[in-house]
Amino acid sequence: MTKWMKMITKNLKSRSLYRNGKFLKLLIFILFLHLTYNSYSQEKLEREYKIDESEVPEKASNFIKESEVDSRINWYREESEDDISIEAKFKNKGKFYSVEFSESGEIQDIEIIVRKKEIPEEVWKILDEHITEKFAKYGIIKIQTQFTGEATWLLKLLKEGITDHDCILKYEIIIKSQVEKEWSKYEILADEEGEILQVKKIVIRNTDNLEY
Amino acid sequence: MNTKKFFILLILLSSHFYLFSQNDHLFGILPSLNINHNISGNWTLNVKWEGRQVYSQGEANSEFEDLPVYERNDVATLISYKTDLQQVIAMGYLIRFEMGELIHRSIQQYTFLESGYSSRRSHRISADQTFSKVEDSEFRFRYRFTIEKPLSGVKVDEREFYLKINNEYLNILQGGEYDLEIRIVPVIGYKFTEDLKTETGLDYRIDSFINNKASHNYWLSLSIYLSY
Repeated sequence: MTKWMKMITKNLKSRSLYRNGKFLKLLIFILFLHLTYNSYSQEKLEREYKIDESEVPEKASNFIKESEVDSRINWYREESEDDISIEAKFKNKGKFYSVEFSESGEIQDIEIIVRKKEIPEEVWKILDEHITEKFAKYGIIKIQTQFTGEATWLLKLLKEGITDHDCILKYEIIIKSQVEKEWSKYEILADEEGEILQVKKIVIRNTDNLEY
Repeated sequence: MNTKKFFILLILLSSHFYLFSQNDHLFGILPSLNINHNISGNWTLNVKWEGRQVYSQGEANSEFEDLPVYERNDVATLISYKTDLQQVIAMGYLIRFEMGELIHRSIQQYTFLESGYSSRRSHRISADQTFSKVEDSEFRFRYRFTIEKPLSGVKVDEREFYLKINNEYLNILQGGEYDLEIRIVPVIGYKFTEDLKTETGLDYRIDSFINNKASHNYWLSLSIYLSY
């Protein structure tokens, strides 16, 4: 074993491969191979990227203007295989808002990041019971209130706050839990009463470049 | 770019060139390949290769007689266990082939991961012990902070660029002497797929500044992260 290692290091000491810049060329070639492979792969692609306000459909832009939100608005375009949507993200009165529109600018929903204590106690009690039935132990990562309905209702909600509205309210809760000895994230969609409508497992984003 | 930003950049670049013109420095490339494989559940195997080619050294630095020189090859294997979605413990072993010498290093590390609204961050605390026949054993205790931000949108999607900055502090004890090394590594990354990323940037390291004249190392970092 030691003899084999010495042989490798002796060869490395000759350095001729590296002195001529061949080593760097080899690396560039490997990167090129990856690029080529990627451009031919047929994997599902989801992208979200920032866009300028001038690229936003007029209907969507007008909706935000009419809401009289006095914050810096960041606009994003989200593309997936079957859908394209436009999103306005902003922070208003200490809360993070995400207003989603269709590609043509029709309002879809309003999502607001909230804390657990902002959910009515009796609703949270039901919700917690249902989540515990599915997941023995869990931790909350994020809670969002999701409002859908008529454009006029949603506009009123954005203008006047969330206490008095006619919109349909749902809760979107992101949790972490260990199922079958594997940690994962789950997205739970529940109605206003705390009844669970849908549970989806979230694909965990790779963290290798943050760990090593 | 406005005038103010331009002048700040100019001052930063000038100070870098000033440092670079000083005598004690090294400049080279630092390619690495990082392969991760999920063994089962919360267990992951990480194999990393890292090379080091030196292109120039300061006048006071006579470490290498002939340049450029391919200085070293590191091969490290770590086994990690996810104790939580945000916490990972790992331990492993590194073998270094350096100018005909063989160096051994054992590694233990703990990483805490955080996700913000538009960034991901990690705090890594690690310890390593290095043993070789030619030098005294070296013991290091390290802390590294990392932040990753997408250059578009609020999360890094496939086929998108991102910015990543590492800042690491290494407490080194060797032969009864203490030294502190500081690393700042700003890189531009590109995510081809969830399982394939590349990162390129500057890996700047400064050490020996406590008791001696500071030594500056500038590496062009080229990394590939592959998971399967």
